[in-house]
Amino acid sequence: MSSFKSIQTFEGHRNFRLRLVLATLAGKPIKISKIRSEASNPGLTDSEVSFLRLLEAVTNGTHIEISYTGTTVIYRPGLIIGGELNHVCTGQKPVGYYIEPMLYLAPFLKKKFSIVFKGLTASDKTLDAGVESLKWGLIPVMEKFGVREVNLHILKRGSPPLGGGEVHLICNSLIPQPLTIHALETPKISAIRGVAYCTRVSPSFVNRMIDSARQVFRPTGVDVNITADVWRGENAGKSPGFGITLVGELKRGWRIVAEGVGSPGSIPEDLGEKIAYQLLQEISQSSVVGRNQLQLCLVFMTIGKEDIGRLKVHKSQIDDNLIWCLRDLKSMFGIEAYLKEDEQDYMTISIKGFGFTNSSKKIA
Amino acid sequence: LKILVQRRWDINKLIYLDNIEPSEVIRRWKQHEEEDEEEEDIEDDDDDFFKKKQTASTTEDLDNFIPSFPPLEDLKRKFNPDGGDDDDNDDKEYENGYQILKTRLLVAPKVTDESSE
Repeated sequence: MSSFKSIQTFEGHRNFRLRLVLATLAGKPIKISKIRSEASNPGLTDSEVSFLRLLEAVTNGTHIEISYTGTTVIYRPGLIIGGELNHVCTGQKPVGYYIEPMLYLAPFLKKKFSIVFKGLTASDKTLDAGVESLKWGLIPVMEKFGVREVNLHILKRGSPPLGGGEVHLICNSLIPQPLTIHALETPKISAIRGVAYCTRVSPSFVNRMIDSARQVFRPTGVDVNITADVWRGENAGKSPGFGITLVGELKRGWRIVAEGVGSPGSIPEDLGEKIAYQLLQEISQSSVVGRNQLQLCLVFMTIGKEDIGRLKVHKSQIDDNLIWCLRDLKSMFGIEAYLKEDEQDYMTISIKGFGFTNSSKKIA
Repeated sequence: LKILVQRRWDINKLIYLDNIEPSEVIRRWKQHEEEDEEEEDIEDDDDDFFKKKQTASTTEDLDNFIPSFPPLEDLKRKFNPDGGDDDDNDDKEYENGYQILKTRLLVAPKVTDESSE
């Protein structure tokens, strides 16, 4: 019998971070080829290389091979270790790009996790997660799977282009495997919360964003509480900027999030209004979690106990991204999801857990 | 003689067919949903049944967190509390967004111009 594990192969740069995270959790080597092979600037981006370096830092024994053109990566994961680290986020991506996949790994490390990420805290140029979205959107979902004591602190804000932000991720909760969830009822929205922030611009920007967002929510009659967060001095980073994150608080601790960052020349009122409408859209087309939280749920359901977890979703949430995610999960863990028609406009996703065991725990 | 073909796609089988692009999976599944509602003849779809497989853009960022949303004007129209029964918009997705939203709210909505302050 060969001692080498067969390599799972993927093509293209889609779900790059997710595939690497799944490989790390499964302990299986993967090969990703044809990464932007037909683009004028082929191969991995700076951000993707930086993410590979981060994975190398939080694991022990990881082996990464990148082809000369950068269009092929072979990743052989090691043991997830964790510990205390600093990571300077290069490229054009905000720190959320790096923190999001770390949340998938953080509960399964050998040591408690503490990483300080330095760079942009949000960006208007990309569609990556802002720090508040992760804090108010993903961490509450992790709690549902039994992962508590995960904290995300913004030490400094850093707006594009120069950044200068610092964010501290701490995970004190180490669990053998995620709990099985049964989220079969669509919870009601009890309140809308949020934070509007600005760096190196007039504090009136945040009030203008808050007022315009409140105008949109006023007819709903729901309790709205948006916090103004004005950053000054050294902690405000190197560039001016502003943004808003809005959270729909659902019963039983679920959250639905929408966020946006102001572009140069944009008006705060427009941003506040746009994000408020986007939150309404996300609420109206979701059940328990929003589209940006669905991937985390599916991954934790797959690696959970050998029991069937169920999650109610809106039919509009069944999209390309969900299918790509389910296919990747099947490739790595051999687990298939089952979708069943529920009431009108809703479906239930059932996944039987893989029975993942935290490998760090086994040898500890 | 026109035969009504009733293709019923099971999404659970379509999802894991690697030779079908996810966008095509969604298209076939959505088509099935529409058929259930309208009982339409689907012979017209033979033309695009064999259409060229879409390939992912090489420059597009396919690893995003923030999902895509319709244009702001569409959302404003959808969530207009004064009524979503515009004659020029028959699309189910955009009809009466505020009514859908009301079913999710824990408090009774109040549509007034009075300021709470």
